[in-house]
Amino acid sequence: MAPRAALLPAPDAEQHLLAAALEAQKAGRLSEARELYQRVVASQPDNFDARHMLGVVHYQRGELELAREHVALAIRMRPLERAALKNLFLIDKALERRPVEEDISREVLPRLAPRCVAPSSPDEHERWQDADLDIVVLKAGIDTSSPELERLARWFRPRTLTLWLESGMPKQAQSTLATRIIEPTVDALPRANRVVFFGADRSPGDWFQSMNAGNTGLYCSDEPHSLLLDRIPELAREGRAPLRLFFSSATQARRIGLPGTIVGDEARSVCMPSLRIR
Amino acid sequence: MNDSLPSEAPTDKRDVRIIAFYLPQFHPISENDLWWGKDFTEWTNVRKATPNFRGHYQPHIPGELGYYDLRDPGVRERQAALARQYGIHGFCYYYYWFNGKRLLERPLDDMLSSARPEFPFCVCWANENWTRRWDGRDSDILMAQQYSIDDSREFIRSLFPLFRDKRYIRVNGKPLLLIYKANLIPELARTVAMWRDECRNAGIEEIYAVAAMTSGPGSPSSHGFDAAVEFPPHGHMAELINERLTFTNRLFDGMVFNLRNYVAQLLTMPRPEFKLFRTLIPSWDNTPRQQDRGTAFVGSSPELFEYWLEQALHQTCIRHHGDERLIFINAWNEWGEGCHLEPDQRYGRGYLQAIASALAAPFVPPPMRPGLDNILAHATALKKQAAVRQIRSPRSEDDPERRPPRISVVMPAYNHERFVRMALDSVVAQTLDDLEIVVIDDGSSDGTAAILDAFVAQCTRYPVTVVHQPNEGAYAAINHGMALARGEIISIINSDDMYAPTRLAKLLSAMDEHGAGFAFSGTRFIDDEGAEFADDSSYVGQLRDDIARCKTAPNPLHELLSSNVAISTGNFCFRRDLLTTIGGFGSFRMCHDWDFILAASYLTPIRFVHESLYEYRLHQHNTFAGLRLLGHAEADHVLARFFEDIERHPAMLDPASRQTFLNAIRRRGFGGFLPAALRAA
Repeated sequence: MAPRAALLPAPDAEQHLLAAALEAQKAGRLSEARELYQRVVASQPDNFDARHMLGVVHYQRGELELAREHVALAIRMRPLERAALKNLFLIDKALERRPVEEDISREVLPRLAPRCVAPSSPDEHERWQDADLDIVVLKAGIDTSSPELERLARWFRPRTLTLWLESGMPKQAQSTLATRIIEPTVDALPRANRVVFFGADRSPGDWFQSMNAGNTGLYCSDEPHSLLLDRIPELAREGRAPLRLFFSSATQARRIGLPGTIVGDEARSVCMPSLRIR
Repeated sequence: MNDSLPSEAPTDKRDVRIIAFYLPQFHPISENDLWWGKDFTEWTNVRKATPNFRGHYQPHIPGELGYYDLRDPGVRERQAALARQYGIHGFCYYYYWFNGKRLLERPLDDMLSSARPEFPFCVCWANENWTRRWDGRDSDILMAQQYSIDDSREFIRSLFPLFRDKRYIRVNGKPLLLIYKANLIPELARTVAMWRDECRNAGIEEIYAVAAMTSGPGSPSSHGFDAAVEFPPHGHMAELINERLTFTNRLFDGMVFNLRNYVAQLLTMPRPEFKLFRTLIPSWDNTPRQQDRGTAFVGSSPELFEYWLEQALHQTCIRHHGDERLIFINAWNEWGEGCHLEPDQRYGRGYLQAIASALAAPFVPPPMRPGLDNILAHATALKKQAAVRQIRSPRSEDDPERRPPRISVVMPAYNHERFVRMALDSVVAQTLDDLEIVVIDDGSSDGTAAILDAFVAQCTRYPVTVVHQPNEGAYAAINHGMALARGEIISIINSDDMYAPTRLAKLLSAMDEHGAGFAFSGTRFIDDEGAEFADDSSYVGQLRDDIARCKTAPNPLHELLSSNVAISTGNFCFRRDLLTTIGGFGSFRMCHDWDFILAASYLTPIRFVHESLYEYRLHQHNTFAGLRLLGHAEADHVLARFFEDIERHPAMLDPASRQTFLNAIRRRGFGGFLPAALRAA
């Protein structure tokens, strides 16, 4: 969606901000543009151009709900403004595609089964027994005292566990786990032969390539299918290091439809969801 | 007739030919030496690529074929062998022609003169400027196109040796020629016509001309083209995800998009009003060429590609026939744009294997509606099964030979113990007397069966027949019920919905008054408690909007083109004799009702009674998650079937309604389903 606006005269300061915002937007500096538009909207909530273009910036950043909200507000100010109506149409189309995208991911995800190891294999079970373990948090917005994280750690005990966080992630003082920060530049990386990634929100990127963990796992809680579709191949090193999946519940295991282990407080359970036969 | 070499791909049972675009820029040429430095090839860009964000897959390092040189005939042989092994029919070579000057011609010329590899091919005129930015725009032009009708004539003549080669890919006997940016050619229609004349005059069958969709939408037929071909990622509206990435290259000023979102866009795109061949990309990332200002799509994988190709194959089988069943892939070896089927070190032959797997996946043809004879025969066969139990109310047993009722209310019931009695009571409360009730309990595992048995014993107002059968699915249960129905009119009701008391009286009155054989009413959406459904989600909101539009439409058929505005089979009321022609409900998962009502529109006017006389229950857990794409595919089938014989539709036979109907079809974006003669130019 190209920026569409017919900027109207505004008081000098706002006019200046709007011009700067549009310039930033055209140059692809979307964060800067958003901030500038927000400043205008804060001082002039009824400024059509700022409101409309703020919506457009949100669209360009993939923030569709916010985009819709602002463009719809702009249209309330000028119901016949064609550019805004056209942009609302584009946003709605993009919103419609999101669930379709998730449907696609749901269809495709079971095809990743060959990249995941079957936990029912005795060898595989053996390999995860009684060995030191690193847990690496890839989930955004979680702290180290998260009950889910504690439960996962409890499930793996009595093995020696180290929890690894990326710099900038919050760490709670009351966490019972030994915690370290990943700093690839000083070679502070998980080095255990067994590594479980907690969550799939972000890519470990380059430092994962340097880790060389022999046995890798991914703990899945509530990630959308699309995110898992990104992360499973990456952590399975495109099939060269089959990944073991851990699920927060049987429901989660069924939802994902891949072989893996259910991590519960009760008995240690292993599941092998029925695979789609094609 | 296709007289190109037969493909050896053993798996392609559906005659879909997959053609991969082929870039010849993998050998040094003097022009590139001059512009880019000594010994420049595409590999120069590919080698220097670096990741720009976390998880960014760059550089792509070639697999078993290595950093090859296309002057080596052995490389070309290995490429063709690989492509053939996995089901690719042929290559489409980019053909570089600049006012008589050709570039990168050697691989094609060597292939032609040596007659090797023995592998089908065609060409695409890459008719844009060569620029320093690799984007064909007007800045920093290295080699410019200057069009004239004489130059275009020389261009087509230069292709004659290729067209005469037995390996050249043909469509209905015509050599397939693609134009990359047709809109750049002045006097386009005249040029294409001239090309056809030139070919005919040279004793070559005239070309099958295809325009790439590189410059926005537009019908290629108005310029004399036979078809268009998608050229992803041109025209994409994918989601930008820069904000969700962690960039490792601070200078990166490009854009990163979500490939799955783009696939969703393409798979749900309405059928255009012209012949359009689908094109897929395994992945796409031009940062090797553009580096800091590049564009990349993330989220690609062989699994996603395989799924996408399966869908595209299915669509192609449904939409095109014979030689026109073509699918393109961008590309065999566009390494500088990160889109290549050729093996790399990360995926190996993964994308090639995905093609073979997609071709091997079973093709499930669209379900047909079973004929009335089949439905009746199936009902008779079911009756003999031990697992099937039929009980009839005392009222039915009184006089089995009595006059058939006017209306048969047919209910398919499945696991609705909470609602089924309410549904039946709403039928018993009708203001009409002359009806019977036929319920097919489709293998319910809850208390539904017992409730139905009790109802049979208690109902004194109407004759009731209940059949308990193993689960066969909703459409099969309705078909069974219709087979048992004796009434002149069949009215269906879902086992969790309800009729308004005057529903049948009003529908029948509307049918009688207007000589209509089919009627439905407005729908009220209720929740589990029977109250108006409160959640005005986009789904429910859209249904309500559809119904509201139907109230103002000149003909409900116009709204039925977009969706089943009757909402459910439970809202159908129709003459039983329609079944003789239409048959029963097809085994669609979602669209069996829509398929049925559209078929009925060929036989009878359809009346819409505005009043909300049907109460459709929406449950909070009702969801179409996972079914949206299936819905699109089924809608494609249903509409294709409806439009197959559209010239015979009553709305087309009446001159007064014909144009209105055609306008309604086009306005709703279904022009692509019209026969060629009716499509907009």
